[in-house]
Amino acid sequence: MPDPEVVTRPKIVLVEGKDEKIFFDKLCVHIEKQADIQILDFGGITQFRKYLKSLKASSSYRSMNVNSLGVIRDAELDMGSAFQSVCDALKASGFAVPSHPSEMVDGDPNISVFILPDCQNPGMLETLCWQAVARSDDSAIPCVHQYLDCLKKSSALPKNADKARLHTFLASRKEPGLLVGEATGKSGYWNLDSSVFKPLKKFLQTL
Amino acid sequence: MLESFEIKNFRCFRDIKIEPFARVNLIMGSNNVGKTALLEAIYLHMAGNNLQIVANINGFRGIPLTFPTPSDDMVGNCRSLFHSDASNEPIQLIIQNDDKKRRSLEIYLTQQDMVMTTRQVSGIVRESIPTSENLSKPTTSLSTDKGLWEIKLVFKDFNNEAYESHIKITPTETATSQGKLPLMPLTRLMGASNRLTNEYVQIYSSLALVGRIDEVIEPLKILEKRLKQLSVLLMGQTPMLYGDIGLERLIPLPLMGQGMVRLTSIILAITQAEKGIVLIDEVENGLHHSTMKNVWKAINQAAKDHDLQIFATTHSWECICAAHEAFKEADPNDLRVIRLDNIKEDVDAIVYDQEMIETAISSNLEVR
Repeated sequence: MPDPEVVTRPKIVLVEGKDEKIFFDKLCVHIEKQADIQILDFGGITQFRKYLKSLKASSSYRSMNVNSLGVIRDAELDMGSAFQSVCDALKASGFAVPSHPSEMVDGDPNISVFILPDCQNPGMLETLCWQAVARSDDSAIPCVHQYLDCLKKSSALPKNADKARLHTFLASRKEPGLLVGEATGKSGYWNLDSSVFKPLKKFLQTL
Repeated sequence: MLESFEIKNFRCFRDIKIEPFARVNLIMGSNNVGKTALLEAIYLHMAGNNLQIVANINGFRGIPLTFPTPSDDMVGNCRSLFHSDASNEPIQLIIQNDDKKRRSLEIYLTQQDMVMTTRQVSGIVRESIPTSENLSKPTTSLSTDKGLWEIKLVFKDFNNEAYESHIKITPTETATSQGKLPLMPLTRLMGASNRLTNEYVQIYSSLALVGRIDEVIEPLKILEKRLKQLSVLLMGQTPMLYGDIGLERLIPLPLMGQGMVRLTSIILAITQAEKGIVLIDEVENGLHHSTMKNVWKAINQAAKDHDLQIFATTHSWECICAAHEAFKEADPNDLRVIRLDNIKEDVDAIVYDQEMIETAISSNLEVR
């Protein structure tokens, strides 16, 4: 049985999955916030409401005096409904509820919510990563577009184009098949200094 | 069944309300947070206005008993029950049951000026000399603190009927007045150590007399599949439980392992607390975590069969996970996990229901 997750830092950010946790751990290191911010995986959006209740009850959360709590989830098809579902869960567990994405609301703890990719558009973490790749001069980019264009001619078009593009790109690497979090920070993937990550970094820095 | 419990001014608890309880309640928390004190508080409440239980509750922690032979330590022992030793406010232990009825025990410890009390003492002693069966006789030669000390218990049952008892202590005399006791459900308090005392041997003997040994043997097979029978035999002059596991000779139960002793004593305690309460300190002692799920199934079944409630402390995360697994399959609403926390020099309680435990386990979120 692995050691249970313990809250050890006064700022925590909840993300939806193990691979997302790896990505955001690396992003925190990149912006030198790893000593302040702890990333926790809430296990998927269907678990989020229950997770908040259990997190709030955990002894380390209660003793740590957490002063800021951030939540990051994918917009998927609708940013508004994704934000609303996070707010509903926060309210149900007695947390403060922000009016808008990326807005910090005072409370115990202060709360802020970021809806990927940019608090405006549909999409997800992969959307951001693909945007960062697309702005680079990687030679595989035309191949990725060509592959997706080819798929369009068939009936098997993936429902999320950016995710499909990114995973196609991942499959093009020397070590194919890495997950997003695993690939993050490695040479030849996406640059965390890309401007597409700026709003996300600002969110973490202002927690 | 107890549904909630309020504790005021008792040991580490300044003012706390814990709810809701289930049939089986596992209590966890760091060292010295008040887990054992919570068991003691329930036990005291369930004893009503019983002076002997109040005066001797510290005996559960190995402190020498001070009743029925009062000594200098009786006041000190009693004072130690109060939060921060402060007896200016009474201890209040208030139960609400599942019919929303309340029952309370208040414990007072007061000191009066000796100059004022000389006359009172003689009157009190006269009034309170036992005339019938009582728990104590007045004794002399007490060299307690100066002045008159009074320990007073006021118990009010679900119908608000009051039951009182008191002990009055001066430097030279003490007098007890044990009032009529209320009719209360049976309650057993089990310590953390694994010792099968004569009392348990007697319980087994009485079960054997009426053909109820399967209630004990079947759960014990979780730990020792070969067990066929337990017998009460004399070792020297001491009656002891021996197990038959198909060898040439019977084996003293303690030699079959600490887990066997622990589970035997738990099951025997349950058989003696029909419709009552069993309080167990450090329930997992002696039990390997791999057996805990089946042990909890057996405890749950025994608790249901005897329609009683269990409160047990634990330090073991494996024990909690095992209980959760055992109850999830059978009676998910029959388990609560209560964690006591020290928050800002006070004690607070978090009660986990089945869903919260499940989430904490599945997301590997720390609970202890």
